[in-house]
Amino acid sequence: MYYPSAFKVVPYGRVRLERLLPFPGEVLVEPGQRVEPMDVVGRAHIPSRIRILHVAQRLSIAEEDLQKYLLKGPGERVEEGEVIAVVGRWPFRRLYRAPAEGRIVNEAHGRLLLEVSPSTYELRAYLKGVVTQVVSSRGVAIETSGAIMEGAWAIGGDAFGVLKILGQAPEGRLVPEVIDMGYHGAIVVVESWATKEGLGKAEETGVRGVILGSLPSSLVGFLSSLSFPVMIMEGFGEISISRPLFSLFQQHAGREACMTSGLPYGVRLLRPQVIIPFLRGEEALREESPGLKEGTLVRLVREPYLGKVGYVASLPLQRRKVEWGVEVEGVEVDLEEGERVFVPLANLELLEGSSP
Amino acid sequence: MSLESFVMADLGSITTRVTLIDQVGGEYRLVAHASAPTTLSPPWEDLSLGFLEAIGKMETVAERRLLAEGRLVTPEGGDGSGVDGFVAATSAMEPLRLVVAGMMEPWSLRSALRAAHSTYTLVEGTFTVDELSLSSAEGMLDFLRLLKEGSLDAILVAGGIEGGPTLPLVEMAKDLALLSASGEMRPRLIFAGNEEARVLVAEVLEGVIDLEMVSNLLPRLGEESLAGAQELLENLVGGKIALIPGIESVERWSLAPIQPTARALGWAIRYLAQEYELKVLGVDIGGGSVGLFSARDDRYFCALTNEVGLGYGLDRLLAERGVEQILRWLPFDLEGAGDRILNKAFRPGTLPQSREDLFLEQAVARELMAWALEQAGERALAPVDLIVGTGGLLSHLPDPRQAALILLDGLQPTGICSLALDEFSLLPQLGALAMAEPLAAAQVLARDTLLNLGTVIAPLGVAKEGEVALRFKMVYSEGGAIEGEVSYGSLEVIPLPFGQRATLELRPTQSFDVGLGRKGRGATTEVEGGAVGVIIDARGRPLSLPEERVAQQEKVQKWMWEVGF
Repeated sequence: MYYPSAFKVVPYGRVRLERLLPFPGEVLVEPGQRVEPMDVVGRAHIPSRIRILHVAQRLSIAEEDLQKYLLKGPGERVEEGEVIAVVGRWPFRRLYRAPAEGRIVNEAHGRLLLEVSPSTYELRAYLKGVVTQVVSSRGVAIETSGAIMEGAWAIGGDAFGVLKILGQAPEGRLVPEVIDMGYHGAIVVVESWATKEGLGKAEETGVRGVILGSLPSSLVGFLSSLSFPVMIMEGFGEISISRPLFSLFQQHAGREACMTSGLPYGVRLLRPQVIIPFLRGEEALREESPGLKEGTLVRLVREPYLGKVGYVASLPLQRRKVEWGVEVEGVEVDLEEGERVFVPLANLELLEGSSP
Repeated sequence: MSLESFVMADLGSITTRVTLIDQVGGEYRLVAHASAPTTLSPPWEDLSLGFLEAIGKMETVAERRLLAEGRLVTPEGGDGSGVDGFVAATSAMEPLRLVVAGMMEPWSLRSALRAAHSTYTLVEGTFTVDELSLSSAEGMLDFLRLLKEGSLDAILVAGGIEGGPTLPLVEMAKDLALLSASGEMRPRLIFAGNEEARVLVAEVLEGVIDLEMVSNLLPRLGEESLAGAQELLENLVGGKIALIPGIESVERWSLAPIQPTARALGWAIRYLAQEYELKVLGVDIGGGSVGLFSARDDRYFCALTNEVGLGYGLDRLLAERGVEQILRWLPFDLEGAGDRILNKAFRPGTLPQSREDLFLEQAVARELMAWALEQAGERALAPVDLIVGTGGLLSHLPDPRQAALILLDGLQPTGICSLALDEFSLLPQLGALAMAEPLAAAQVLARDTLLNLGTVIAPLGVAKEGEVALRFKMVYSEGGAIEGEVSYGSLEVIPLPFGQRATLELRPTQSFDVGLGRKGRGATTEVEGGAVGVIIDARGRPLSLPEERVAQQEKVQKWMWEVGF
């Protein structure tokens, strides 16, 4: 049977992480190689700013003659003010000096393309495991075993660090008073949401990432000014992390974890993930979701039940009128609080692979 | 042999809709329809799963076997199972990633952007010749970044009216050649500029860029010619369809290539305009984009808000317009509206379950239409004879009066026009069917597609709130008459049920024009009944709402009551 959108929560299973360079570059590892989280697995040049230098025009020479007068060519670095091209002899020399420090990328039609202050991007593994795939000049896939939890939304890239649950927080919130240097270098899990000041303090503290239940949408603009990624597990608003997920975070507090930001990709959504790699002896790895059944643990993802968790009370699907008068397909769900509610199928997510 | 039965599909970014067409009494008619969520995002990542799910539901509704061993049964069997043909349209492909360049911002660049927005494109950067000569344009950096990422589909270059200078275009081509040679991939350049510059530009770009020439987008100032560029862009978008995960198994059953939804919907709007000699404006509120489709006489345009629909991209709408701009359409306070809109953006398939959530989605739809109109510019504002609304939100409303008010608020038509609703979102599917069997498409479009909402009279003019804007008298063809006056700032619905006709006499006051080009001039027109009736919208144009929130809510609530919900 067809089943609704799944939200991956795997307490112990096979973990596969794709690590990709933002631009084509060099992959530094090979299939089968073991990697540690902070190993650099790829490298790429990032153009920060470019300038087209109309050198031939400035030196009043024919475009096709430029090569004859160049002192520096494609691939070479230049300092600001450094002479790049010379025409004529002393004392009638005409010089062309680099307008900025950078790297010459290309030459054509009497012009040079200068990449100003290019930087090198280093891609780290962020996961202890084995490289199972190399995508030529783009990146790698790393596999291991452990726990995976998908988040609802994230911003700010990827991170790696020790998972720490924010303690002593009023109503589980991240406020300035509750975060201190003990969280430096950590991925901090916050049960509910954060204030702007709390996130600012986290920045000062040097956290590597923050995972929250939710956030007010008014803070979205502010998040892009932070140096660490922020992930929300439930949605925007003031919602705590649902019980099964928070239990899993608590269970793995103190372990190393990796956060990845999935983003809308065209008309598809790639969800952000938290991966906690670990080995658990002989226990079998959990695989695919069983689909929607009576008793399946589901999460409700739209008001008025957003953030609530419950169990499917009965199947098959029913068509019922919702409050505003249109018939939709859905199921009855027994909420953890004890109430039984009808929920459109579109507003459910399976907590795939999770332990009730 | 003629084909008698069809399954049509619209494979949207959020919802997959399917329809069964068969011959009834010698005519093609709608038999059944169904829908299911599109299965493109993880964990499925296979569009065919949602398609088969929708077909499975339709089997139940129609009590007719359409699937066997996981595939569509074709041709129709003697036992009535299966269908003779299948066609589809889709908007679930990745958009075409473009960088757009023009000679000057207010002229050729704007025309090039209009061409780009006529289909599913994502304009990643823009630059003009002037900016390029500054050698540090942001658009150039976008161009280089995309080249390096290997994700640029094409550069669209416009510029230079016929007979104008060619040198700036050649210089731009040299800069582009320099930039292109540093990328990992060989980009495609669509040159839609001065025809005299073609040979010169081609000489510069030969061997560096794959060059395609189309007719000049702006041959003379004030005279746009977008068709050539639009057609090429649409063809490139068609190429993206083949990359949708799972599309190959759906396409193999199709009689004709799967069409981009905007192209298919454009066919339907143009057909309505030509067949019934009407000026038609279509609006499609989709999950991944909002589209405006205008057909009048021989002219046609389509403008899409790419990557922003009633789902995907709502974060951008929120950032561009602000939550207050959306809230102004709500008759009540709603805490956390911004949160709810963002939650819809990353869970676009979810449905409103409460009245307040439904009204919030309707408010978002109004703002999306207003935004789409602004992007489309003045050409979308001209008076029309017929407005057709389509897309998931409009076809799932509990009350057709809500659809009518959303269309009126969002599009703000003037003069006299009819309102119609594509109740089952059939128009794009019929556009796809027209590629294989135009007669079937035309017959279903004429009989089973549009729900007539009614006639709108929207006089233009200004008065004090409460002053009479227009007096009317409606004489029903079945006997009886109704007379009244409508004051400025209000809406009036005159009942006229389906199947009934009436003669409507309009007498605007001296400050108002009912679309005849002169204030105070009266008119008499024949009107036809519909789901709502005759709506006199004397709220003025553009609609004005008070700044203060409570007064705003009262006004919006009053309009809703006046329309009857």
